[in-house]
Amino acid sequence: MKRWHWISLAAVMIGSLILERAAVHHTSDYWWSHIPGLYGWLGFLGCIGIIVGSKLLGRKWLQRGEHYYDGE
Amino acid sequence: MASELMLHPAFLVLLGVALLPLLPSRARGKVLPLFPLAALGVCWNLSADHGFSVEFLEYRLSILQVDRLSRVFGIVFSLIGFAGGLFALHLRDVRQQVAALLYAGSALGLVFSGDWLTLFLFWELTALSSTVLIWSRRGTGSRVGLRYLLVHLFGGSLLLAGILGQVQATGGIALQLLEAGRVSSWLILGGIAVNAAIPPLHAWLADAYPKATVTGAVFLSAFTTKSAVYLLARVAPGWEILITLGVVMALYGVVFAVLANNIREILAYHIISQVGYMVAGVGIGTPLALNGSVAHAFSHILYKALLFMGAGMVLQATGRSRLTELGGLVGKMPLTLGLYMVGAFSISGFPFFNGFISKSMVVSAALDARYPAAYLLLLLASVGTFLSIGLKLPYFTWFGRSRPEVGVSRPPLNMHLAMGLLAVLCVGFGVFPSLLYAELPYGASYRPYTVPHLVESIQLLAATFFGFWWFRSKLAGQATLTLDTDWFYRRPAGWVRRCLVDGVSRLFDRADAGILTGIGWLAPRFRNPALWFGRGAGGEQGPAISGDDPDATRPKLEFAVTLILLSVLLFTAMAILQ
Repeated sequence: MKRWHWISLAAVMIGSLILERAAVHHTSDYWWSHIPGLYGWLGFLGCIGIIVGSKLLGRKWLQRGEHYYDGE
Repeated sequence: MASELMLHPAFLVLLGVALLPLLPSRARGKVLPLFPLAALGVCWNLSADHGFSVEFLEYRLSILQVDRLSRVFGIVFSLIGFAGGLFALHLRDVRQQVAALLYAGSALGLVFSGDWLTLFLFWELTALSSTVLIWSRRGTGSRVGLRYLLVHLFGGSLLLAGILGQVQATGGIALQLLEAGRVSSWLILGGIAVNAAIPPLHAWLADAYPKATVTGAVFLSAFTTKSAVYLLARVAPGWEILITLGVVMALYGVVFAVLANNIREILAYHIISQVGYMVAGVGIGTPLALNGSVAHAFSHILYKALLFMGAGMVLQATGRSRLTELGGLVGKMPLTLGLYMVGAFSISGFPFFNGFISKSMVVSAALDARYPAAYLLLLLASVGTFLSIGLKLPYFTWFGRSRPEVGVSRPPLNMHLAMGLLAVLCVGFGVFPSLLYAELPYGASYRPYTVPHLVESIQLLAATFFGFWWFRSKLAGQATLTLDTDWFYRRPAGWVRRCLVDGVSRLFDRADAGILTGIGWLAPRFRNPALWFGRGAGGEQGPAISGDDPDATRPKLEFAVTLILLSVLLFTAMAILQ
């Protein structure tokens, strides 16, 4: 990733936050719908949660050697 | 009758099944896409409420019944049949070509069926024809194909049992909404759940699709699961249990795709995940949600076929499909990467790609219908989709560690053309959503390009990228196998074989050996009855007689013959005296 890639991404993210504050009127009555940058948090924390959770599940329980079923 | 059949999209494709083997092998590949193309033309011109039926025993079979729901599925099935045929244009394997056409024709027949019996016939034909596409892959294909077939025969049996119950309960065979209070309804739902790959009945998909042929996987990705979604929308809209199952599917596929090492297995798990959105939409049951499910099935067929084409081209060009064996292909396959990324952006729900205009319908419908947990969890699943399909797979295949030892062969032009066609459609429907919305069956309006939707997508996707970049080393492929629910029938398979096959086989072997020993013991005694009385010259092994000279034993028989004759006389005398 080059520097300008990061700058562009940051600009897009900040632009979406500004747009959210200026033009999005939350009409939903759920408490979480009023969190600023809700979808950014969901994306970032959700991504990390999926990676860590899946890997933990795999290491502790689900992952086996590639030849696990060879004797079937 | 014949003219009506010629205007049935399925029979047009099935005509290809009959004609293709008669053509010269060089022409077959070029002719194959023409049959689905003709079916597409017919589908496009079919008007709602058009249909015809035939008498069969005491029933009337609705072979063609058109409404807006079946028409939109017919259009996309024909379209993908054409694109898949174009992708396989170079193929010279008549078995695969016929199986692919039979599969496409059966799927079309299924969505235009107006009764349970016709539907069941086409349902089973899709199972059989798709199995051939797995068997056609050399190596592991035969064993995987057998597992695939057995699971689908099980699903078909559930469906048939449900249909018989349904026919008995209603007194007719017409397709109609299922009633929750009937056992037959749950049996039908179980049969559909197998084909829709609803956990825990889903493992066949991730087991079989990665092992299908390169061209066969494109067809497989389109028909079986989406036919099941069609049937769910037809007979079980608004069944709330489907919301839970759909959300579980969406997340289940995400978790297993993170663990998968094979690129086509990653895509297969994301079929389960994406079908989860459609199943959840059917469960929500509002017109917007049902339209969302249908629209997402339409979009999904296009971008998933594109993704399977991209992964298939990597496999064809390099002979590899494991992330642990791939990397650095960007310089060698840049066009494939570009076209693959159109599919990846579509499935991830990027604005101006077709996944955005359909997935957001289901997600919005969940919030509108006041299912907030489903709404948030479906958004979480879309984070996982971008993570695996949009980032992990392309990063470790085309970027990542370069592997100079991996040779890349040049793929045929038609494969790129087919990918290009689907990429254009993905972008076209994304930019002009009304083209798709105009064909949807239920009356609900939806505007995808609003500021809240755009903000939601941009934040979700950009933040997912940050998370991926931070943790990307943890996503590198690992040479492992991930246990899934197929463990329950694959792991005991050896034990079952030992008990029910090997054990019985051993018993037969021993019985066989015992009989041979018995025959070996009896044969000399019948040849020389004197041995029964221990008078053989050779003792237990029998006398040393010449088989050519029966006189050699004759003197030794006199005692036995006399005894037998006397016995006969004695018994005869007793019988006369009585």
